[in-house]
This record gives sequence, C-alpha cells and structure tokens, in this order.
Amino acid sequence: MLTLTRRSGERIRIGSQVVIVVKEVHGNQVKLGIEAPRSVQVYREELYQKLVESNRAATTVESEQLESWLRELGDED
Amino acid sequence: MKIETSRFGTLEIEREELIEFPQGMIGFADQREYLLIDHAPGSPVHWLQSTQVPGLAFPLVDPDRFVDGYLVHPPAEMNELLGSCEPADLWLGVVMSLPVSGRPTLNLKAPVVMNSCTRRGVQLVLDQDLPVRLPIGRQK
Repeated sequence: MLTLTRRSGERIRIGSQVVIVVKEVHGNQVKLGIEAPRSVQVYREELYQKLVESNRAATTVESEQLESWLRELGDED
Repeated sequence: MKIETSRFGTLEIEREELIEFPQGMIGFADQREYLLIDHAPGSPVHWLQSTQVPGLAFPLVDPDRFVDGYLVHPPAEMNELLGSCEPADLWLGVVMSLPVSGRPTLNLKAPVVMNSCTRRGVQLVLDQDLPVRLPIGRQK
C-alpha cells in the first residue's frame, strides 16, 4: 500500500480526475474532501462492505424457501 | 441467443432483452449484462439474472408492495448512468435476501433502477438514511 503523509489543506491526486483534500485533522479524526467524476462511486468502507454482503446473501436465496415464503404471502391475500 | 442459467435452465432470448449495468451490481463489478425474469406471472419477485454467470441472480421486488412511503431521491448521476431517450420508462426494484432462519429483508439503501428504453441499469446508493436489511412480513 502506498502511504503518504499530508498536512491539513494538502491534497492527493489519484489519476487525472480524483482529488482528495485533507480538510481538517482533529485528534484521531480526519475530515476529507473528495472530488471525483459522478461516475466514480465514493462510500465509507463500512457501508460498501454491508452492501456487498447484502448482495451476496441475496444471490444465495434457496428456491424452496422462497416458494414457501411466497405461499405464505399468497395465503394472507 | 442462448443463455445458461442455474435457476431457469437454458433460455433463448433476443439481444434487445439484455440490460447493461455499466458499473455492475455492488460487489459484482465484472458482471455487467443481465436479464430481468419474472419469478412467476404476477409474482412480487423478479430475478436479475446474469447472462455471463449461470448461478448469479438477484431477487428483486417492487418495494411498493411491502413498504409504505419509500420515496427515492435519485442522485444526480443517475441520468448520466442510465442515459436518456423518449419515452423513458424507469423500473425500480429492491434486492431481497431470505436468510435460512428469519424473515426476508429488503435493501432500501441501494435500489436497482433500470431504464427500459436505453436498456441500462444501475444499483444506486442513496444518500438518504435507509436500512440495508429491512425485515418484511406480508404484502400491504
């Protein structure tokens, strides 16, 4: 992993279109500004991992279970 | 063209039925081409089936059938990603998970939107504070 040391107000450029600005450093918290094209999705890692896990779980739905849930739904109608 | 799927066997489909996800689904960036298949006529469940990986399919449901007041404020990049042409017909679904024990859950944070005119789709991540796993019970 590339490690760079930056001070408040300094920037890091990734490729020609992405810029990360160190806006504020406060104790163990860093406030970052990110400039990127709209097509580049920027998320907090925790959220991204949650979304990936949720998508993965969705692809493993068992047919039998789905059918039994759908039957339940049908019975309620 | 023929497409192999684990759930539906071999399907004979027209090119025009394909839906391109330029960014893939979240965590599945390499798979960009899908088909939308009804689970059964009238069923609340539809499958977003990969045309490249037979075993890859996401169950999607129409959120309005299960959730009240789910209003999506689409991010500015949506139109850019989906492209536009007239008449643009957008279809919105949310990914459903069904844990082995427990109730099904819906991912309201990252809905799937497809434009039936450009045949492009995207899994959005909304800025709104919404659950990734909302348990659901019955239809409204």
